[in-house]
Amino acid sequence: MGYPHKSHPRETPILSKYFGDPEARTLEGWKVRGGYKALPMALATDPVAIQNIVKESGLRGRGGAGFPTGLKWSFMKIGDGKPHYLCCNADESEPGTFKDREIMRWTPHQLIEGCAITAHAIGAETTYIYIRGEFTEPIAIMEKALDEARAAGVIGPNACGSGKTINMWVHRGAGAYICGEETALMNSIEGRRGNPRIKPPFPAVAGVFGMPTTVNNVETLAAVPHILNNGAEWYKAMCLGSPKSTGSKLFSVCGNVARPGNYEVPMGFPFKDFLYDLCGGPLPGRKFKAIIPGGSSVPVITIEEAEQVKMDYEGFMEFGTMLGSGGVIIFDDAQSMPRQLARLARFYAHESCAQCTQCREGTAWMTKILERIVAGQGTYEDLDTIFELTENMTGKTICVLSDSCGAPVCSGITRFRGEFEALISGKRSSTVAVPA
Amino acid sequence: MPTLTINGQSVQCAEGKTILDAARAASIDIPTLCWYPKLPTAGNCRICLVSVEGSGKLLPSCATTTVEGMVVTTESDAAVANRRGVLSMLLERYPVERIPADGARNEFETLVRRYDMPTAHRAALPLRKGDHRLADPMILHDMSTCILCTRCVRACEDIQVVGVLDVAGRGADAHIIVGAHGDPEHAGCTWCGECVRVCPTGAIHDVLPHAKFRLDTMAHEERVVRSICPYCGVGCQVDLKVRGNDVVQVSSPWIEEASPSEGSLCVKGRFGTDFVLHRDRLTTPLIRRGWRRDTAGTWTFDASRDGAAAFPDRGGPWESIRGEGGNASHRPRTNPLRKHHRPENPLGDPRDRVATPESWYEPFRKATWEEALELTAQQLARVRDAHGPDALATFQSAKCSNEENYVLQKLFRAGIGTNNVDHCTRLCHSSSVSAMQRALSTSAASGSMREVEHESDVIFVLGANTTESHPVFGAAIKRAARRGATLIVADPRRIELAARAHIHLQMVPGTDVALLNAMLHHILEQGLEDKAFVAARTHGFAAVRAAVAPYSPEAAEAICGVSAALIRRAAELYAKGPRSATLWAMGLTQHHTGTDIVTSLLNLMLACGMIGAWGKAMIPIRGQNNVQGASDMGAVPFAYTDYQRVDDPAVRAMYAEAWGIDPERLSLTVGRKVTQIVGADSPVRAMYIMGENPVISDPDVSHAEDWFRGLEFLAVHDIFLTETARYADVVLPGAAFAEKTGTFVNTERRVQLADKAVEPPGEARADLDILLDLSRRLGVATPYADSEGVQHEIARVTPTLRGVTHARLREHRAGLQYPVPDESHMGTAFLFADAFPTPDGRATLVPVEYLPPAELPDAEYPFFLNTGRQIYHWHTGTMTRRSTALDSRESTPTIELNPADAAAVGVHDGDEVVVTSRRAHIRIAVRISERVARHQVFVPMHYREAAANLLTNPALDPHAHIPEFKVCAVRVEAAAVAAAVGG
Ligand SMILES: Cc1cc2nc3c(=O)[nH]c(=O)nc-3n(C[C@H](O)[C@H](O)[C@H](O)COP(=O)(O)O)c2cc1C
Ligand code: SF4
Ligand code: SF4
Ligand code: SF4
Ligand code: FES
Repeated sequence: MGYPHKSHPRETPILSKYFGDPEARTLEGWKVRGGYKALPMALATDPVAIQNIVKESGLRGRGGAGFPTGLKWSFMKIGDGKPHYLCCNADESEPGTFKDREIMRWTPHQLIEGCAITAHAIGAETTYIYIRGEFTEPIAIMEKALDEARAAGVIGPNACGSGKTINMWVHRGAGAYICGEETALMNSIEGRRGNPRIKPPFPAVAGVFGMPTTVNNVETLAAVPHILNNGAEWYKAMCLGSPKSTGSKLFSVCGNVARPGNYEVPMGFPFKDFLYDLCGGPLPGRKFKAIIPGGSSVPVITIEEAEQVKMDYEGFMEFGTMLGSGGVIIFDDAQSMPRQLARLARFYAHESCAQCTQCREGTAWMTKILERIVAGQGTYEDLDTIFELTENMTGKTICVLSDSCGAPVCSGITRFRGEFEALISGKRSSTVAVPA
Repeated sequence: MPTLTINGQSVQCAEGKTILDAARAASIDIPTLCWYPKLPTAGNCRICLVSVEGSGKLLPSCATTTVEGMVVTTESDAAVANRRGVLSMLLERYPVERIPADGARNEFETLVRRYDMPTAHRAALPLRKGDHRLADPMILHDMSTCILCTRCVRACEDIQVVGVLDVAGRGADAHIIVGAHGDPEHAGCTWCGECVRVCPTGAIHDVLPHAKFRLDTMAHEERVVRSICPYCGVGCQVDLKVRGNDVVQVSSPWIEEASPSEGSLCVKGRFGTDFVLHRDRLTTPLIRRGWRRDTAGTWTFDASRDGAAAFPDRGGPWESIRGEGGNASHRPRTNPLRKHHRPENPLGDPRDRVATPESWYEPFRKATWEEALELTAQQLARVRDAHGPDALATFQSAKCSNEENYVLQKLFRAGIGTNNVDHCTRLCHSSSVSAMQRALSTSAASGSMREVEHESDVIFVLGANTTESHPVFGAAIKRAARRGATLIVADPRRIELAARAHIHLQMVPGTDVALLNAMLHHILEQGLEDKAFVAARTHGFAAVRAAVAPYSPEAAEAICGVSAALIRRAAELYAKGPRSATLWAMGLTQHHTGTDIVTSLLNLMLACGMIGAWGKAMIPIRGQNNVQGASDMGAVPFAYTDYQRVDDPAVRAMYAEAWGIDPERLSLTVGRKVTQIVGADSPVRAMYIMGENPVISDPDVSHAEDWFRGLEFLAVHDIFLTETARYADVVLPGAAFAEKTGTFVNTERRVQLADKAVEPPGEARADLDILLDLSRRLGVATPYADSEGVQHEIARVTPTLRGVTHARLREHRAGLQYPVPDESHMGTAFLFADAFPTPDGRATLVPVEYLPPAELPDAEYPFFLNTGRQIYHWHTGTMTRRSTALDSRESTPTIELNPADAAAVGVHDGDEVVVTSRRAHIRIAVRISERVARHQVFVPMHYREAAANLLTNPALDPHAHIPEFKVCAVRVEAAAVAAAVGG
């Protein structure tokens, strides 16, 4: 559903079906709408069997990296005698992404059910739902829903009367983008500074408190009950493009567009139709210019490229960008790309946890250069320096925040070099940015 | 054992090692910045990235585990490009103009040169910032050179377990902070300087003793000499950096080098050795006015000569310790650190304040060595001839080397013919020794510090404030607790370890026997004792079982104020181990029941079988850097070296032969102990004191001070004109630790060698020289030229040290833990695996009963007084109070007072109070602290101007003659009130 807009007939609303429906928030309301059917069933099923169903469904992580979810779960050695943990990543701080927020706001029980099934599937008794601290409304709603679920015995020491323990707690973030990175998130839960950890060891080996841990995104987890209810084949069938990308996906759309919001479409949906049909095209009198399709961390593409894309993991890759978290940021012809990218660089410079030399220093240096260019004081060498910095910042650091800074900037310079050069040569100021 | 290829070279390494480990083992140099041995891997600098075949990305060599068949290239184009990238980014915010044109000042700049980096700034980014330490006497920051490697943070957190430093801020704003508010004091900093040691750029650097050099202007050392910290019994090794004849900087050995401290130091070892350069150092011998040599060469004293009449009774123009302690005319001794949050210079130059007052030299004249030694030899001989050998006595020194102590005891035994030799072990661990001798026939620790750190499951620490008194060992215990060892602390004060302990048994002072008997009671009741051990390796268990029967935990609770439940829990944890270590120090020993207290602990330990295996260490923690060695060398009245008894004729015959003298010259009578030598009924009329300061360290010092004044002859051999030396007839200027070569034994029986770094100042001489000269004058053969020769003789007469030579100690810098029975032996890390050194190999349990302290609080004296040490000072302060750095940290004597008591007395932090015991009173500043329980106060022993030992009770332990320093009763009043009442 194109929340906050009316659902578009070409959407496939599965996760978003009840967005905007306050009744869906309560336990009873959710049950009436088909909730909590999968959980008791799952609790009576062998964890490995659930892992296999999810593997079969082709579900991939919706947090950004697109890692196959069932495979990730299978790294958890059931019965190894150690406490296992599930962390639900609800830190959603990626600029341009706001789908997890809506899942929590409208359908908290959808997430709780997904978490509970997953916890069982990976042998975890404890789940932490790590919610971005600024999400005060979703936090309140989740807390309330958890209280309800606990009181009803849906979760707790004897979840759904299964004899299994499923404890679930909300942990609030404190305003750091980096805490969405799964190992930083674990440090944050442990009460440490939210610095990403060196991998390996991977979370499934040593995660929260050094114990086997699985981290999944909200949207990933919310999809799980539907898969169990309807079967892997049903899920797999939602696929209009590459067979490696299945299911429905929520895209958050923002920027210079007629109808920004969340849209749920099957994987492989044509991006052109998505942009012009579902999202209503550009604002009156404007033209689309560029798009960052997967949250701010992925390369920017031109509208010409975008119009050819099929919206799945492979489809975006074909055009040198990524599906990422599904945050579609749209720039129209009134925007200055140098200015927009300088904004983004500043975000990463501000959010770098500052462990890695390249990230800490590189993001700041790059921001400095971009802001200088935007102020009309750049040089041509500055552009070379940006590429040199990006080279140093890519693939060399503990996490990929460093890469994420270079990716949009470099792709932007490559695709919109004229705009940068116009600023450098003094032909144009960034405030009047319509390209010649 | 994976085999990998690094730069074409085949390298094998142990499972789980990183690429960096493997490369280092193969001498392949991979540049690193954030990595440091033994610190947790941070992997944040990203300079160590290398190419690994099959990996699309460069991998961090410091954090990548090796796998079989890995092919690594350390200087691939990609790796070098990355390194240059990292360096270029770090250089952007580094003060490049300070990098010397033709070289490098630190690790980082060395890499800049190695990769031939251009050093001009390109980005115009601001230099890095970070917290400063303003006017700090020891550690300064220049954060513009910080590269945020976080080594300092990890060293503080993971080696010292203090956690003062951290990274604050994100992105380019990230910076190193000192506590949350930039105040090291409030953040719990102990100034150990571990951060200084690990910093790769000098962003955190030390303030050098004599000049506050900046990194740039620092004069580089000409030589580095390995010595041993002159303070506590941990025996940390130090590297003295020498330029000319000055020690310009002290650093610790490389962390991977085997040494008892693994290269750590505490504040005293790293920053507290500038006393060596202090202007108070004695540079010529001094002779008291009135002494004169006639033409026949005989020295006589005549008070009418040389102005000596002005200084009757060996006195001088100074106040007695008693007078100084109680005198209200001194300016109030408030705590200046309290009032000035960040003192620029609140105290003036501390070296002026604690300096020996000029007037103290007035009763003396400068003399030549010939005069001084001739007079000393003559007088010692005269007193011996006139009053018999037992009218003489010597206090040897736990701060002097084995060789020096050996020669001095030999001088008194062979040259004078008395066993009146003792040293300050009497005042610290003599009760441990008497208890351990009786139970196990041993006088030293059974185990090692490393074993406590790495192996013990339970660590039971009693009466030992290790984090202040033995800080490097204290840190090891904290690391052990963090690795998961259970920590049980018995201490009346809530010291740092107690606060970190799983169980804190906070008992009423002096009630240890009740507590320990009750623990054993509970263990026996539960059947948790080690029955096999008891049956096979001990005697006397039945008697002890009977003796502890009345000590139910409830009965003990009534005596020591620790809940019965806690006693039970502690007892069970200790008994269940499986490997429990037993550590104690002065809190147990300095009681009139000290021997009983230690005995009750040994009973507990033996009943649980917690000795004789790796991890079951028994360690009486030694206070001074050679208190173990001095005792081993026979600086005790009952034994020659190795505790071979002086009253055994066979032993005597052996020594007589070794020393080439008639056995009759050696006395068979056990000598007098420190606490028996000083006292109204003592027959001692002349003394030779080497490096001890009994006028501050003896109990009830006002009597002691009078006693020393009454001697016929007193020679003091020291490096400063101490409170004791000022009463001497002859003062012999000796050498400080950096000025001589010798061996020292630390608290874990480790014999280590300290090398001479610089010459003593002026005419001062190496102590061994002085002693050998004097020996010859008293007719004792000295068939050796230097300390190495002396060590050969020690090895000959000391079975446990037979295999110790200076040459071997130079080869094995970490030292050798005795017994070292022969020259191929590598030392003994722990003892008693199979048997105890008793005649039948069994240990003996001895029943002991609880006796209350000799003096208890009453209505008139309502407080328990506890005395002891502080981290920044040591003993009578002779050295530490002449260290600029240390004395500026803790410059004022303070009494710790519980907040509730302070309120009741009506005083605030920093106010002056008068503390009165039945013997004397002192004026002292208040430090309000929750470390002390209600109705208990703590006064440190280091300060002449408020000497704790004016107050203490000279009640003695009947076996060891150790005084009850830890308990007496006092009254505490606000100074103003006391003045009003006193008129
Ligand atoms: C800098 C950074 C920020 C991230 N932020 C988020 C986030 O806010 N939410 C999220 O779900 N995943 C985030 N991720 C991805 C997580 O690390 C992780 O891959 C994800 O939570 C795994 O869940 P999934 O497999 O269900 O996608 C972030 C990753 C990086 C490197
Ligand atoms: S890449 Fe950046 S955000 Fe990620 S760990 Fe390194 S410094 Fe921190
Ligand atoms: S102060 Fe030194 S050790 Fe600490 S982070 Fe900076 S460079 Fe590293
Ligand atoms: S712990 Fe002891 S030996 Fe080590 S540096 Fe400190 S005072 Fe010296
Ligand atoms: S040394 Fe390996 S990352 Fe710093």
